[in-house]
Amino acid sequence: MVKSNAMILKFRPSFRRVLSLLISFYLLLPLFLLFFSLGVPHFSDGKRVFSSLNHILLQASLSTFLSLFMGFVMALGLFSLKKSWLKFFFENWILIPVWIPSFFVLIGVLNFCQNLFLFPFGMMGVVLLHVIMMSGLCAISLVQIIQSQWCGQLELAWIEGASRWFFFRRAGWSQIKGPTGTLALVIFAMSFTSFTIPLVVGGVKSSSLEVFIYQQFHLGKDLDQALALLLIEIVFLIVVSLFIRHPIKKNISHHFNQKYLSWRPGLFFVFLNTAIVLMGLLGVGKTSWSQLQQWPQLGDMLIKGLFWSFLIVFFTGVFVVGLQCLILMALPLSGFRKFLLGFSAPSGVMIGVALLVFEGSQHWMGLLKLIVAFTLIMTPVLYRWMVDQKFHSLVYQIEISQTMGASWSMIWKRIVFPQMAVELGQVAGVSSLWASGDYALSNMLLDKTYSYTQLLSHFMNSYRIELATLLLWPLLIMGLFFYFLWLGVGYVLSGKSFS
Amino acid sequence: MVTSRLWLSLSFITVLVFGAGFFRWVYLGKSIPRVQILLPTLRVLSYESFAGVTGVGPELIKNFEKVCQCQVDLSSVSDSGMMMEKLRQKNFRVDIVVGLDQMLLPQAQSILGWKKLNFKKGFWDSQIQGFVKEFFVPYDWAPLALIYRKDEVEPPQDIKSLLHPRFLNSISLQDPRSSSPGLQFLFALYSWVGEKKIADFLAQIKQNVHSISPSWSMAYGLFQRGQAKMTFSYVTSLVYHWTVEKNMSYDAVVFKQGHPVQMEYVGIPKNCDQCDLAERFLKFLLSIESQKLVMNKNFMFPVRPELIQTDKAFSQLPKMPLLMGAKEDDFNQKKSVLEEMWLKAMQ
Repeated sequence: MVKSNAMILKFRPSFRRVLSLLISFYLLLPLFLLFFSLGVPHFSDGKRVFSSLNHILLQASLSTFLSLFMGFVMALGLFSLKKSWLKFFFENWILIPVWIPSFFVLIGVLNFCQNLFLFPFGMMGVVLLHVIMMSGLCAISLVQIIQSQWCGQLELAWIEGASRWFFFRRAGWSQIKGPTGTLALVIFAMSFTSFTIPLVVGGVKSSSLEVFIYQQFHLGKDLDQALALLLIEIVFLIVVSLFIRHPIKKNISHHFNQKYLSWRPGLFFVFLNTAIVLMGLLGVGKTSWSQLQQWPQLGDMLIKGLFWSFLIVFFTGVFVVGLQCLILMALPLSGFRKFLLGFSAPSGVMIGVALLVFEGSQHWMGLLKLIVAFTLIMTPVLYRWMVDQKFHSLVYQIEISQTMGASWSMIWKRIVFPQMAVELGQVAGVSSLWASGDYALSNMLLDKTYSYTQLLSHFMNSYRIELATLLLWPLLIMGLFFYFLWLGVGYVLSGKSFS
Repeated sequence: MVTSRLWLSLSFITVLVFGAGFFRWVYLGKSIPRVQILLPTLRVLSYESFAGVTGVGPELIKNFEKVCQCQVDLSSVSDSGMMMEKLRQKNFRVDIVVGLDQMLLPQAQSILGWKKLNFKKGFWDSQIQGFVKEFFVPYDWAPLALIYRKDEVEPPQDIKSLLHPRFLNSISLQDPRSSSPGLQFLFALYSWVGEKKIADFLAQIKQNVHSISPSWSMAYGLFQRGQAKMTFSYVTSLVYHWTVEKNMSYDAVVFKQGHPVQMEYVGIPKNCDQCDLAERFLKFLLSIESQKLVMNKNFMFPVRPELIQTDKAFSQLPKMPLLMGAKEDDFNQKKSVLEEMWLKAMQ
């Protein structure tokens, strides 16, 4: 028995290394496929690349600055909430635009603007939509940063007669500038590489790196330049992730006296931001209902589409969470963790192109490729956002258990899984929600119309944009259903395992 | 305890999903016509507008399968550009391709060999006779023009008046690099103002452009939602608004210099396996019955001359002179230079 345990202990690190290598290979697979099948990356038009990158940097900088500004205003509004249920509601409310697929945000905002004013297309339109999407995330993060950094000191300064501005200038800023800078980098990276929004409203000049890559690949047929840009994107994201060494702390003090920072009018923006999106999605005209009635066979088509989307959304959650579990089984290996923190998936377009190399796109093969594509896109980002920090806090417990002779399966069952179940549930939920709104990859990888979003894009391509807007709702509801389902599963498993 | 709960929950959800899929599969199995197992399969490649649920493809194929003693496997991609990517794949074989537009024909010919297609001269509508090619034949078509709502804007009288400040920020256009109508607009400008003046014209019209979208549907969606006052689209779009929406306020701007034409072609690759079936499908697609379906579902002109006059809405569409093929070949040669000019002006 002792001998076999010793053998397991010896075997374990190599098993984890093999597993980590396999996972790394899987995540890097699209890049291998692209570089081996397409060509040698180089810039064929350096002048345009330079000019476009300037434009993209300006867009990302403006989006970051304005999102942080709006986020700060909203954070002050959130500080004015006293009742915990109200706080819980609004904290989730402002995150809706960042959690739902950007396609929904886009349609919602365009609908909202329809009768009020002309939507500003071009860079300003991209910035506006980015601010609507990301200011909620900024607000929540800033609340956490401020609570964790200023707790106690702000009250003391207040008692001693310092004004808010004096405190901010002399003590406050120096404490929050690090985590705020980290947050700004995250927002900058998101704006720099976003796709759907700059593609639709950005106009001719590429407003994000992803769109620039897409334009080089799809429009310019300049595959070498597309690959060179992809390399820039990967290097950029690695550099960003190197800066994000110290994630935002979550150890928030409940004794923080937030009344000194509350600013009630900020709540108006908290409400307005998400309301614009939801009101826009609700604001479907009479035309959509009449179009619905003109289509007698629509019911069957929608049920079929929902069924396939259900499968896609469900299995995306399962695959993504399965891969995260495998990652957790391979950790803690410092090299592997560094890889996961530094690695970012290539753009959705490029992953789609890479997977086209595999023959067969009909039926299950097409669906499998689609789910694999989602897994490849979502795994690195969701690991960084939701899993790494929590897992890292468990390393000490794991090391002690290992020293005391616990087997890896026991560590997984008794330590890792119970404490990570909530995060894993969140990962599955967010990946399902994001997968529910995709139509670009589906159209690329599936040979036939399967998913509900493909149906919607058919309606949009045949004058029936109003009908498509109306029919977005079942999809959104399905995505949210899965989000809460996975979240609930995570909480239940976590709660049960501790009891 | 925790593991068993986890496995129980996951197993339950997985069984539920697979169970639903399995029962659906079993249920659908009842209606499979057994005779089809031995039937030859015709493989059709097309794109969303033809093969999608709102397109003419599904119904047409259903009708064809009733008479052909065969089964049809319809593959679709998002746009005609992606069709080219599919055709480039080494192991991808198809018997007939539906939905190539005229700007893509040279590219299609460079990728694959195509069978010659012979049809009598009088078979086609006289307006499009010049567009029929040796290896490709059209199955629907429509001229393109600026579409507007009569109660919103006074239409431009000629091309120069498109530059008037009253159209400031009001035209929704498509990117010529990603959209066929966008490319047709560039071709129209090239034909209207000539190569020498096109750069100036583009620079001047920029202020009147509301937005440039990557696809026709996005540009048209902005126009439908009232964000833009005019858009460049098929003249036959009017039929949709007149007949389906019962909204007669939509109209098209007619320029006497002529309008570009969007033709959608069918071709049969030389390496087809079911070549006879492919030819039968092509004839079926061009039959009067199928062409009626094309008119009513795709909202495009049929290629058969007999049909247009029989339809009230189609016969009421504004008549407009067409820009013919000779200039198109010239344009195709200079396409990349003109796209560059366009890009420079619109950035």
